[in-house]
Amino acid sequence: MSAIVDELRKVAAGLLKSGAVKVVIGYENEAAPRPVFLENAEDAEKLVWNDRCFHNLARYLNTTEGKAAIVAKGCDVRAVAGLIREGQVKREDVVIIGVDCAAQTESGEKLGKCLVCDCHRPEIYDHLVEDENALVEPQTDPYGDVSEIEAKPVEERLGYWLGLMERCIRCYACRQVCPLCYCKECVAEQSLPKWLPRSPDGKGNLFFHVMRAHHLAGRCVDCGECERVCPVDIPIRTINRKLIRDISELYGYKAGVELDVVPPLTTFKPDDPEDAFR
Amino acid sequence: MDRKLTKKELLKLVEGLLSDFEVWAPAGNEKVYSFSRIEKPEEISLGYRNTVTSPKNVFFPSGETVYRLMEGRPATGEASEKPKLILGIRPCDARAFLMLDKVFGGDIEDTLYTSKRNKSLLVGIACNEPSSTCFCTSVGGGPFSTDGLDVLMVDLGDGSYLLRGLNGRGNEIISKCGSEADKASLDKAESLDRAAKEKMEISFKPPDSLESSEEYWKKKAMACMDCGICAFVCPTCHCFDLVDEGGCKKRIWDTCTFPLFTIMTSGENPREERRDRIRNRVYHKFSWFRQVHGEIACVGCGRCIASCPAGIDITELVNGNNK
Repeated sequence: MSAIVDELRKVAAGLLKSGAVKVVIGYENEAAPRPVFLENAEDAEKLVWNDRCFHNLARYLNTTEGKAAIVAKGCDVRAVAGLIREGQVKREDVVIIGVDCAAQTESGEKLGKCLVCDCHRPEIYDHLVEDENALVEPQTDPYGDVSEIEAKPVEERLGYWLGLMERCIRCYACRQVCPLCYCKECVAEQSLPKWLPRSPDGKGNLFFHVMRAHHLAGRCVDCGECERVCPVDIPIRTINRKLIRDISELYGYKAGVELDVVPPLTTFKPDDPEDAFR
Repeated sequence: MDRKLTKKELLKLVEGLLSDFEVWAPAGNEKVYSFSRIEKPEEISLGYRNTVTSPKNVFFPSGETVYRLMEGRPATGEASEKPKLILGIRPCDARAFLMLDKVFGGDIEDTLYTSKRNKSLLVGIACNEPSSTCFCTSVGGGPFSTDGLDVLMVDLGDGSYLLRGLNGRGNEIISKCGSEADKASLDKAESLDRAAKEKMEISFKPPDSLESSEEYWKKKAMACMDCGICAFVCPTCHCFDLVDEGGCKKRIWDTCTFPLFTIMTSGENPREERRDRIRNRVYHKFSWFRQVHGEIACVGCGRCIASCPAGIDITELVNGNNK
């Protein structure tokens, strides 16, 4: 057993034993890790850690009862920070067990988000499980594919996205795994008024995905869960990253990195340079 | 009737079928591999394991028009002129259609479904290599099951295929192609069948009735995120909702795992808790469907296990019952 798993189990057992938390949200099942919710210190032995711990467990902070500890990678921690910043979770109600993470891999290949990762070590944590080997530099241009699509003429771009969106079966897994998609009632399901069609077709599906991306503008932390779970392989991250880049260029802001910086799209200035906002 | 065909003869057979049938077959790349309408024989790829989504969309699309509000005439009249043929369907998926037939073709016929399903032909392909998530043998099926099929194809591994006609219509389409199958081919198919069964990694016996506590389902449901992947990739899940969109009454896939599935106009929701929704899905398949139709509404295709974003395994949910 690796020193990392050993350390994880020790921290988890300690938190449960002392009663500091009611539940530890981590990963179980070495061969194919999946979320596990531990309530007893003896169960800490179930915890695992490897390069297939994909799930962003921040998704469960809203649905577990009582104070929770969460095993979190750098990208997951940014989502936790987002939830705290947006008042969904109180900082004092969550214990962050941050884990240094080099990359998550699928069939031996690093996930796209891991190639551009700039948070191998979580920025916010209560306990840090260190792994010096994990601290590597980003490997590719984070927005290469976004620029590539942007360079295409509008018609071609629309055709590209409509072609992909035809496949969407509206299982809403992208929305359901998203830690920041916590609305009790999604616009996609509102019926009075009805904002977008529920029957799946290219245009309606595109409407849904673009709507979702806009609601995540300045909030998406690029944990990539939406794209990972999509059963029909729609590159959802590309839409989100277009907006991440826009927010970065316009406001110099990156979601989930700091707790005390006000997100640009949640604030207002009387001397806003845009007429529309005055 | 058993015929042996080379790959080339098989493509030629498909070419012939294209003029008489609307042919659907597995196509696409490894990641997005699904049943699609085929125009040319080369589009078909039979090499992959199970498709990500099931072929139920051929007769039960994710969205379809029931009637046009303005014109007031039923949309079923638009069903394609040619009968549908699904080529390369796996035995588990073919069995699933027998279950959907009971639901949509019962006392009250669902003509949207039956107009597409009637006269359809299913040409299956046996599973020489089951996936790690497959468990058809635990729920009454098998990698070489012929239930619901008109023809079963077996990839003999040497570039040739054994085609077994299973009824008059099946025999009719294969009678003129290839050559009569020799004993060696038949023996080979039999040994492939045995080998495939042995490769099956999951094996269990579903209990006759399910009984477990609220606490059990609460625990099991914790990781569920209320998405619809399991039901939407499932070949037997058949629930739908009706919506008014674009001047049409449409029906769209729906699922009991969605919190809104049971919500009423008053705001009352009898299955508000996640534990009740997960329990409903498992009980419907493994208990209630059996009570009504005499069999389990699960064919062991393993898609829900493979696609669940939270790693939930339906065989574990069933096996943990009654304890």
